[in-house]
Amino acid sequence: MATDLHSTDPTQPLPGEGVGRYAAFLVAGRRFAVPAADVAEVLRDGRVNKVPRAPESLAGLLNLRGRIVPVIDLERRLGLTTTDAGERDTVTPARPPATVHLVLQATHEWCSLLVDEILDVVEIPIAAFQPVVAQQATDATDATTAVYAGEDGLMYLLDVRQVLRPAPRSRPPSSTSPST
Amino acid sequence: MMDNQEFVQEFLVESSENLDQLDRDLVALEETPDDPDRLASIFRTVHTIKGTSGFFGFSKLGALAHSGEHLLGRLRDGAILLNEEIAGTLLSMVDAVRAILRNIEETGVEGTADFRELSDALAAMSEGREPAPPSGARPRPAGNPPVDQSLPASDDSPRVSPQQFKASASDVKIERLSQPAEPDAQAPLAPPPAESTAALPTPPPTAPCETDAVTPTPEQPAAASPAVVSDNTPPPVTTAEVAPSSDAAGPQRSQPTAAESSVRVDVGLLGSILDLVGELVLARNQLRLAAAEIPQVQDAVRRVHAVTSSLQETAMKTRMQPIAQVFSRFPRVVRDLSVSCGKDVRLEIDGAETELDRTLIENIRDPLTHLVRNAVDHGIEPPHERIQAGKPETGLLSLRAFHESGQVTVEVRDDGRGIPVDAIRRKAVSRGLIDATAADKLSDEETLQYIFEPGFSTAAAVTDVSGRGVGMDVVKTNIEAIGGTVDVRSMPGEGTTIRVRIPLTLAIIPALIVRCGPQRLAIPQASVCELVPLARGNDNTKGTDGSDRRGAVIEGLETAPVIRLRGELLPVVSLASLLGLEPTDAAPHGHPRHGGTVVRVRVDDHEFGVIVDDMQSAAGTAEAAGLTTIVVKPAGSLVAPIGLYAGATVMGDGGVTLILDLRGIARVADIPERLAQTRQADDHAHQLGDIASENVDEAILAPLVVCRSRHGRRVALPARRVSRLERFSEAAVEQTTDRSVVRHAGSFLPLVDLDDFLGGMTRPLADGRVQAVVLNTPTGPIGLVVDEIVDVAIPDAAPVSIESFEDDSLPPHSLKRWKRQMVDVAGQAAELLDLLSDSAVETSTSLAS
Repeated sequence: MATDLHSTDPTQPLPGEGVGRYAAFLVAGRRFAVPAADVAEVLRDGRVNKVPRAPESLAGLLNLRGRIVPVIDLERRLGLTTTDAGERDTVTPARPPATVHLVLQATHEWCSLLVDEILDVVEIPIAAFQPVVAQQATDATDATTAVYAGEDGLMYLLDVRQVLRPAPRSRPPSSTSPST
Repeated sequence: MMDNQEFVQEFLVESSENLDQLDRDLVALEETPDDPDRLASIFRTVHTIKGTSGFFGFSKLGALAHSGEHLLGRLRDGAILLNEEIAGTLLSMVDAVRAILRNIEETGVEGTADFRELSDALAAMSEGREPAPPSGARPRPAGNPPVDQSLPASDDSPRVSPQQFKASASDVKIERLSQPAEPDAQAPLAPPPAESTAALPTPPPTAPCETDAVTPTPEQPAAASPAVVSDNTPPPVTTAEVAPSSDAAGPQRSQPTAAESSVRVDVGLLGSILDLVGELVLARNQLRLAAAEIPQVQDAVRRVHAVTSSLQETAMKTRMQPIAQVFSRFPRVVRDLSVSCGKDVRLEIDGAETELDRTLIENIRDPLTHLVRNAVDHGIEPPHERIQAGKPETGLLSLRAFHESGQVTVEVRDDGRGIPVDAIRRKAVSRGLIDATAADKLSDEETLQYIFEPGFSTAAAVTDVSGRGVGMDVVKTNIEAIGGTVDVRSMPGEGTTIRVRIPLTLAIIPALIVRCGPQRLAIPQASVCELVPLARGNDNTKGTDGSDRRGAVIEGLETAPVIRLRGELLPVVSLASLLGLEPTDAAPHGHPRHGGTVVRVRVDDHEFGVIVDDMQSAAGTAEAAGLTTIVVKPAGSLVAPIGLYAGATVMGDGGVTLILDLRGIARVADIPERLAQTRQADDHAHQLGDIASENVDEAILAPLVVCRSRHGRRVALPARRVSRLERFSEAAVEQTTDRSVVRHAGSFLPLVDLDDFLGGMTRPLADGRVQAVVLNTPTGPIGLVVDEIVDVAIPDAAPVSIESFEDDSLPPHSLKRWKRQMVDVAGQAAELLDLLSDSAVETSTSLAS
């Protein structure tokens, strides 16, 4: 049953039937989720090697048994640290150090998302997702495809492929290199 | 038919190789229409396709091939002569065959396309002796004895018996295909080897007797795996066709062992072998680290080390293939395109034997094809335009591949109209990619980079003018995806050169591991020239002789630091500040005050030093620092755009280390090209282009070499014009009637006293020592004699023009056509000398003999 659901393209959560399994986690006090099938493993003590001059959303590289995996600082990638009052009303002010690696294998590329806390694997009816309505597009809204209004708050569905691209707003698209 | 699927598949693969060979041969045949060997080779190839298609009941294919074969037979017999029309028709036939094969591959059937017209044309060309055999002549159910199908009634050539057919099939692999198709026919079909040669009906002296090396045996069809013995292919693994030509001649008795020594292996399998070897290398590195303290296992570890290294080397070799595989299709591409564009293009191919990794070959196929098409389509002008421009009517397209410092460079060069830089500049502005004032400051080279912008080149404004560069962004993306670079140079009216540089392999390279602050980084060893220790306790002196005993000293302004190395200035880059690893105020040039090392590297035409803290062994221990074998892995889509890293690797201790992209660093740090004088002669034209097209004002804030003349004038020279600084003993200076020269590197370097050069007084050379600044000019190097080098610095402000030299009354070697400006540099005024943009300097190159 679950396999059927995961074959549904999560980037287009059109009203459908059935239930999807999602791994939920906390980033900067907000709840996000990715399809559970994309999760390869969870690491709590990954050694991250920094990449100088990388976009700030890239926390570094992780050696996962010989495979080099980019580590995404989700909080920065989603721009949740910006001092945007409207964005921050539900965010916990003091950010605990994000130490949990949520390692994903989305399409053929691997990545690790730095998250604050893994919550649970939840089953959500696909039909219950609603499109993200944004008055103004942000890095966060760009990278999310749908939102689920649960009993304990909103949960955003991340578009992993989008997350793997550099955030368009935190870094200009022109690939100018850092000046010395 | 269904159970033949696998063999059909193999037939398809074989045939497509054969077709590529046909393309090559036919185009080559146009050059030398009376080459009997080549004709014979073509004939056999077509014959093979015909025969094999018969086995599978592909009647349409068979008919087409037959028509072609017949025409070829006439050509071979000398009954008719090859002309462009015939060649064109034969090439059309090749295309038609290809189309049918594609259809078979996709749908399993030949498709509905009607090639009767083509068949008719082929037949008509055979002097209309007989109409093309209608394709319907032999629709036969699959599994029919192949013999029948290979012998259409209209065939008047003497190929008849099954034995003969088999014998003349040039390619063993195809032959084997027939076996499962008609197992019962096997017995009569399998001729004794010796007989097969004898039975050859056709006279080609190069009878492809490989057949006998194969002795088709019934168990071969059972080889259901993709790995099939490709008996007659001498080089391992390559799929390059086995051109059934020349070397296959006559005596085959001695061949069998060689023939049986190669194996056709699935590329994916080789890939996974290499991956595993890569893992093994990593594990080996870890093992060495772990075993360092256990004496008992040292011997075993050493053995593992040695064996792993050999294994790795061997595994790499299995994947190497000549780039001819890509190049081979270009004669056909160029021919077709030039015919359809009404252009006359000569293709020169050089270095087709250059080997590179198989996966890379696949990946450069399309980009290179694109570049070649571009060159013919847009670069090379139509004949009348070329004549008007005073060029030879026939355009030249040159393809060159060669190894260069651990990389393969492929150069696509045309002598066409070049890329109109100004049009690109305007287009970039109009598309909002850059504002107008900034655009004016772009050098031509920088401007050309815009053709790689997505969608840029397809824009009408550019294509109308030049048409050049359609889809260049795709080319660049594809090349960069495999760790390569694309580099374009163009000179209006003279042509365009595009250089594609690709790593030899993606997999395993030796590298130097360096430390910089908290970071460990790998520098590919292929680019490393030497290590230069920096003096400890650097006091940043700018003394007259910085290259002293304790190590190099970093000099120059912060924005353009240099070290002196054997009398030359080497620009250096602080890795720490480049990577933002230290606050920039930590030290004068971002390097640690206490020493450090300069890694002198050379990449492309750039040579510079990278300042690092020290070397590190791979294991991170204090054992002998230096080179380590690393397994290059892609660092991912987020790291690549940074432009500073070529990839990453996992070290023995499990940490991830980034591999520096020196080319990217040279670009970011704006390192000038330095090796101009050592480059190959054919690059000279580009140099001239650079100088001639350079906007004078671009040089405003470029680094200057400041020196003092013997009369105490402060004179500044653009650093980019300076190729080196030299000191000679006076005894080495020789006088000719009107000038001084010094022998240097096999030629004479003209020397001119700077004061003399400026039109001032002449002074005899004295002091025993001569300090010269060697400048590159379009006509060759010239040495300016100065009293001393004062500094290398960026001017404080734009120069003020005071006069230009265009006075013909000046002596021939003086600064005719130079301009002189005043500039403030390092707080003092200096005269800035530079070439006028559009002129050549008449220095005395005639001296160089």
